[in-house]
Amino acid sequence: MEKKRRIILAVLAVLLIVLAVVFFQQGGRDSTSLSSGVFKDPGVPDPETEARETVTFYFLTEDGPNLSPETREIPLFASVSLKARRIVNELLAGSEKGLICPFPEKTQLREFYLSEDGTAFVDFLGEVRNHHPFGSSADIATIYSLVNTLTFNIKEIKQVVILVDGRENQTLGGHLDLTKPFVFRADVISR
Amino acid sequence: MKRFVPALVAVLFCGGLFFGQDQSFLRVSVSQSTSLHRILIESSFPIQPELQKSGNVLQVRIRSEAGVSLRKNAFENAFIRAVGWKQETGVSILTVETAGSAFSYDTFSIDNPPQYFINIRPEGNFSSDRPAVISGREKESPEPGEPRRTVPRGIRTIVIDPGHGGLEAGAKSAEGTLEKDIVLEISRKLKKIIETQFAFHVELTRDKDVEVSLEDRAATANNLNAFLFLSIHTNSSFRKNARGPETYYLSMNAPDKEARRLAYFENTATELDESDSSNETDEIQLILWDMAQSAYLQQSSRLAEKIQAELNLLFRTRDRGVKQNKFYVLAGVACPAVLIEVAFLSFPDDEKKLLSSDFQDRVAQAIYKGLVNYIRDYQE
Repeated sequence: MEKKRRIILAVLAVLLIVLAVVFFQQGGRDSTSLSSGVFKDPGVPDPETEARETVTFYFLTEDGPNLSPETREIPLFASVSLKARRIVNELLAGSEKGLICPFPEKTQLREFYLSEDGTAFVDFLGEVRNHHPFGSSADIATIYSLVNTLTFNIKEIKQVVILVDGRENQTLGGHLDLTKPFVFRADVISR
Repeated sequence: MKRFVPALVAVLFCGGLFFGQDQSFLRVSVSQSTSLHRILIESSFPIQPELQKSGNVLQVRIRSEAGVSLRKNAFENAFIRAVGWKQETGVSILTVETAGSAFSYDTFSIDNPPQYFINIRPEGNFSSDRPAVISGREKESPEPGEPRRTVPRGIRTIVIDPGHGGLEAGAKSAEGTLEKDIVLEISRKLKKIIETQFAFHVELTRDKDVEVSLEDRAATANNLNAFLFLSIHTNSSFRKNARGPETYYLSMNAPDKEARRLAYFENTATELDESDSSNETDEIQLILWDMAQSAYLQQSSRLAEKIQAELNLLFRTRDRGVKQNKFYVLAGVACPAVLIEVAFLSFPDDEKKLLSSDFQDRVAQAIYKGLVNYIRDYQE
């Protein structure tokens, strides 16, 4: 009898902890999104399941100025934000098939946020700008490689804002306007 | 953003001057550069003058109604001695008397406001008078240290924007060639060609190695009520083989544009009256300002096509095409505006060309030809 009660208590305790975790995660999101319109992913990794999904990355080739798709399998994520982080990091790691990655070599993702209206804020460390080639073509390749890859694979992301070191910037290399969100562009992808 | 307010007022004011005239008029003024003399006829209505040269007199006949007021600005000119107006039934006649009969002339016109230019080039040894011409010009120039030249009356301005500058060097080749230096050279050469061949004043957004903000570059064009804006750049890519010229004009993605338009209307309706809304007013100013280019997209695309066509001939490359993108510097420019990426500093063969003064001359000539084709095809 005593043993049975203990088991019931233990189950209840676990349930309570699970409920508390779920509650605080949700609550945390709500409170930040209310204050700033943007929520920061808590960074708790989803347990990676065995399931995987195919993701399309957009890289450059020597064949022409446009972006070329490269597909790759990544683990299936329950969280949009974690999936987005994974995709950006995979993009920065470069192509597995010899395509050209249009980011400076040491570019690193600093933060990622997704607002409720579907605006993704992708925040890079300063390297992305400091070692950028500073040409319009390079600007366009970097920006649309990221924007097209994110918006194509994650339907919740409608538009992308690029930040550097946590700040809004006028431009990346002196050309395209970074102060406003970018949307998917089909005409920069090679057919 | 406050710095834009006077600029916007200036643009509106200049616009008002052009359109505020109610009486029908023809007005002539004379100006000169080092190699040509220009007669500008401004009018309150579209004109198609007929020209006839006899000896040292050039007669210009313009169909006009009775009662048109004929005006003449005072001038001093080494070659053009006198300009006279007279009126006959249905026609106004301008008589231009020159210092010699050996001269050639060409004409072109622009609409809105109607302006008709006659460029007169003396032939033979008239050039002995040049020193006087040049000293006359210098007298009109501002004192050293004055930031901006005044634009000769009636002459419209083309703004050339050499990209980057100062600490912001732009693209850099493996050999260390800097974009900011190359584009300044090409811009200077282009300015020289336009000013000697064409009746336009040219202003550079920077004429030395200094950093200029992207807003100030656009503001230079808007403050001078510029006719065209050309931003000159050299390109760079992650691709080793990327080469050749590209010409861009502004794109605006539709949802974004629509959202900003809505934001603008909502702001003006509800927030403009609030007393503590200085930030909102700045925001509205920004919204207005960065939509300045939206009214000129079609003209900008045509200008880009004409320039790209000439650059393709020069580089003998397959057409990389005219492209559209969200260029910060173009968004605020209130006239047709393009950004030219002459060639790739990241491609060694392009870099070699860009470093050659001769080739820079040819680039400037090609851009100039594109410009002339645009004006001939779409502005006359």
